[in-house]
Amino acid sequence: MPNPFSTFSSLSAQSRSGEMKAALADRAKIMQLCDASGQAVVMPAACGNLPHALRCAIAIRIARANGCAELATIYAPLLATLDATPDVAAIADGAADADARGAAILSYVDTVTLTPARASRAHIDALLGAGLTDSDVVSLAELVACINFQARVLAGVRLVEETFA
Amino acid sequence: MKPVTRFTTDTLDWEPYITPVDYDTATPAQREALQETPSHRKISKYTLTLAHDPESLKYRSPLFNQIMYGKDGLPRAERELAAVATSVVNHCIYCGSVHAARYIELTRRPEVMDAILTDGTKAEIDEYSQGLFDFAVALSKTPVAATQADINHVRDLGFTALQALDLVLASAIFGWANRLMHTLGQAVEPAES
Repeated sequence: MPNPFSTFSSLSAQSRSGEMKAALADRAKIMQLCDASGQAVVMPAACGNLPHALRCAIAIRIARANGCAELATIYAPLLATLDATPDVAAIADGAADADARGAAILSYVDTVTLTPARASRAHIDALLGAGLTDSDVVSLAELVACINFQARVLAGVRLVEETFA
Repeated sequence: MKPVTRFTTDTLDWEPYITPVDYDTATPAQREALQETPSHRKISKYTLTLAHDPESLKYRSPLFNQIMYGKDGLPRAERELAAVATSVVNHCIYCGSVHAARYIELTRRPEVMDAILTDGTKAEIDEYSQGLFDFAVALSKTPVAATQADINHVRDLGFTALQALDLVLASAIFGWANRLMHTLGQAVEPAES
């Protein structure tokens, strides 16, 4: 399995566009930080009440919601190594969650991904009410925000690359 | 504290929905992550809230600074324009106010921000700014709605690949910042001093 956390650092070397290869090399530090932050949100050392498999399934769900199949394909092999239960694996495919905590988590994930303008205090209160800690809530917010960021960087890089090919 | 729900260039405060980390009782990992914040500034409630997840904060702070203040490439003002475009899509009142004010400081062109803060994603501005603005708006939608034609237009306005990449990065990092600021708390009127 290619390391999913070397995706952005590898873009320059893999680029077919000379101008884009140079631009990505100029932004090498940023590309490294894109990978490091991805690792920090999907596979943190301290994962609290949000296990790695759940985080990875959520990342795939967000990549797909953004229409970024490339990013979903990068995280799918990682999920396969994390012994996800069928319920957690189904989250990657957009399934609902039956239990109250899972429903609160997915409501936050989907709202903040699809229509962040509609997010409200009620979403945070629902997460805390479902037993997540303050750290879990911030960690979930960073996961959702970071993967939405990665999807846009990857989609944007592909567009710029094509235009400047 | 009165919530602010309309875009403005006024200076606002931000109130978290959860209790920020107290620096005096922060763990070593939290303190290390907080060091990435410029030390000459008082650490904001926002950053102290994010310190609940020190692993991501440690990388996000330098990432944000590199994207918004890095050398060469897209001029600073145009990065701020991308930040505001994205904040309008995501309805992040706080980010919108801070970065609209910075754009005006840098360009002395309040009319551009007046149009955007009044008309949102439908704003009509000068051709040069419009190309950047429309691309950032399209990239910020879910699913991502930016097309090859959008970025071809940016190139035809005279931008290089590095500048176009910087535009992508500035817009994308605000997709991240907005998803924290607008969901973990809210913009409020500043306390009387």
